[in-house]
Formats: sequence, C-alpha cells, structure tokens
Amino acid sequence: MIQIPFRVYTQILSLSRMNISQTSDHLANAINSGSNLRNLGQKTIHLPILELVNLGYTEKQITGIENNMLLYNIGQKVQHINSYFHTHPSFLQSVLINKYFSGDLSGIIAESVFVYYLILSLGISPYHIAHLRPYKKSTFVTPDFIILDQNMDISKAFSGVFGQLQYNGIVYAEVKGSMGYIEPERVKKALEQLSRGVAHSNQLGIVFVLNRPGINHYVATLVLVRG
Amino acid sequence: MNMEGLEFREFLEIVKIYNQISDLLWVGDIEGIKTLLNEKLFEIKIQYLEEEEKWRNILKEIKKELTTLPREERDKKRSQLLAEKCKSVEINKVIAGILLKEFQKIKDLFSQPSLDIFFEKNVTVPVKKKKYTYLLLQITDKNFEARALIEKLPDENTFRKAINRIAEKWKYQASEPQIIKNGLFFELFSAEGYIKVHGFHKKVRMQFSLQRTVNTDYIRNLVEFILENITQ
Repeated sequence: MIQIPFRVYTQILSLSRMNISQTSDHLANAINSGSNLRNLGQKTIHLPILELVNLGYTEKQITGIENNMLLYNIGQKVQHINSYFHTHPSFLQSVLINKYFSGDLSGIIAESVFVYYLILSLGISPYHIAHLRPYKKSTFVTPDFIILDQNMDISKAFSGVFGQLQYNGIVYAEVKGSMGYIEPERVKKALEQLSRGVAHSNQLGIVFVLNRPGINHYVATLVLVRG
Repeated sequence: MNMEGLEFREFLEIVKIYNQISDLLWVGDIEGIKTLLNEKLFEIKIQYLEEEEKWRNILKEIKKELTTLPREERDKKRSQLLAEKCKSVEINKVIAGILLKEFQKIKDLFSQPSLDIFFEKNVTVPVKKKKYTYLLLQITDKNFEARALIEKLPDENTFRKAINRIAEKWKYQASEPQIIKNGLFFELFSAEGYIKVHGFHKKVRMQFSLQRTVNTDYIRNLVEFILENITQ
C-alpha cells in the first residue's frame, strides 16, 4: 500500500468570473509550492484494490506494472497484456471493452487514485461515477468523469473547509497526472474543459491533480470550481 | 432534482446501466448484457439522442469554419467557438445521449448475426451460479486468472472465516487479509503455488501461479470453493 497526502485549494473558484489563464498560473504555483492549500490528511491506497478500480474506470490498464517496469520506463507498449485481457469476441469494439497498455500511465494512475478516493474515502457509489474521457476527443464537451452525487457526499466531505455547498448533485471532474510538477497549461486545459459544462449551471466541478514531486512521493490536490 | 429537462434519476439510471455493462463485460457475460439492454433500452428518451445529434452538427460547423483559417490560429479559435456554442445545448443531455448511443452500439453488435463469431476462437464462456458468475482464463499450464462478479463483498467476520476455511481445505497459508469498505485483498501460499485474491465492489479477481501443471477442473473447483465461501 502507499500513503498519499491529499490537499484542497482553500477557495472555490468561480468559472464565470475569472480569467482562466491568470488563474491557471496561480493554481499551478499553489499546487507545486503547497501554498493556499488545506491538508486533508494522508490517504492509504491499497494497490491490489487500485488495480481493480483501474480496470473499471480508465482506458488503459496498469496491472502488471511491477513486472513490466523496464518496458514501462522506456515507454514501450507491452503487447501480451492486450491479448491477456481479451475475454470477449475480438470483433466487438467499444471503449468500455478495449484496454491497452502503453508507457504513458501517469494520467491513468491519477484517474484510478481519484476514483479510489471518491468511492473508498468519500463513500460515493461505484455505480454513480462514469468515466467519460474516451468520448472527449470526438465531442469536446465530456469531462473526464461525471459523478452523480446523490447523497451530497462531496459537500459533506468538504463542509469543514467550505461550509454547506449548494449544487444540483452533478459534479464534473477533470483529472491531471504528472510525474513532476504540474504545468500551468495543463491546469488551464482542465479549467477550460470544466467551464463548458459548469460555468452556466448549478453544478460543481473538480480539478484533481496527482503529481510526483520526488521518487516515491505522490501528492494529490483537489480544486473545487463552480459557475 | 430537475436539471433543465433531464431528471437526476434518469441520468443516474443511465450511468448505472453504463457501470452494469462494464461489470458484465468483466466476466464476459454477453447474454447478461443483452438481457440488461433489452430491458432498459425501451425507456430511452429520444430527446437525449437529439441533443447529442445537435451538438455533433455544431461540431461539424466548427470544423468547417476552422478549415478557412491558417493552422496556427485554429486552436485558439476552436476554444473560443466551443465556449460560445456549448451554451446552445444542454451538456448533461448531450452526455446522456453519448452514453445511450454507446448502449445502442453494443446492443446492435450483439444482436446482429455476424460471420466473425464462427471464426472466433477461444471465446471463454462465463459460469453462472446462484450467487456469482465467473470466468476462468488460462494464461499458461501453470498460470490462471479467474474473474468473478458477486452480489456484494462479505463483511469482515465472514471474510476472515472464509479465508480460514479456504486455507484449511486446500492446505495453503493465508496472509493477513485486508478488508475495507468496497475492497478486499488476501494471498495464499503453499509449496503448490501462490494465489492472489482481490476484490472491489462486485468484482473479484484471482490469480493463480502454480508449481506444477494442473487441469482446469482442479482450478475450477478451487475458484468455486473460494467464491462459495466469500459469498456465504
């Protein structure tokens, strides 16, 4: 298992009122330096369970990463894992089914940790989360995740920081993973993406960043946004 | 909760079906998916598909407009146009439409007879029992993987008792189990081999690395014994 410190940005950002470029610079700086963040404590991530979360909610799979670390480090695709995961007729093509392995996994690990946190720390039902990232390239409007927060678990989790949050139960989330410090341009892209769905509604948005400032040192940051 | 035409409970139902399909695919339960979609798809509201179609048409217009611009100006203009045009659709309805289209696509693939299926080899069929469905995959003569879908993970007490029974019956040494809400993990060791079992929500995965070649019946008995015990 690994321990990841979680932090939350101390303000809720208003997407309809802010200059996204300037805010992105400021946010990236806050995430990288640790300023303006409230500590949410260390969360324990059980890796065998994270593997199963990964299989359900991301496009690629991280299973077998320990055994394939050499290939992973040089960014080479590991072919046999692809066939290993075929449990269905191969003519069936769907984003729900296709899983593949490639060297670029930081985003996938971040997505898995985010869903793990939602389900195992915040108590959101696994059936109330949809991974929409595969549709983003063709539609431009889908966030990485949509969360139907029926019991307002997110509001409850952050009530100590922000008080009672008012929203319609729909939460859009953008997830960014980085093997070093997070760049402002990537934060900007996340905010732009969220602004399309959240800016003119009574919905909540989350930017989740999982980065690795040092070897074996992951840090997770949540930023809440609204219209 | 009403969200400008899309009821929260309808959206919840669509997202639930999406995850249920994902679960059924985990064990390769194509019949289960067909049944689920046949039961649920008749409730599809055409308005979500229409909103998705409307957005597709807007994207086509944006694409066309961008082709008139020099390449270096396109990204900035695209962001600007997307921000402007997305106000003319209900994004939640578009997302519901995207998911419904995905369901339709899967349903069509399963319902149409295809020549491909006659040429498809080694399609593993899931085994359905009262409390679980599982799929056994043979990786090599000594390595297997079993994937199961169960109703729910056991509580800690049931889980610990189950591990003791499994270890005793099959003469394995069990590791200290880890059980948390929605997740479990344990390992079994012996001179015969190593078994890793992990579960999340309704999914259970077992990986077997054995010292000697065994037939699939041996593994099936072991898999079923483990599943019977953790679903008690």
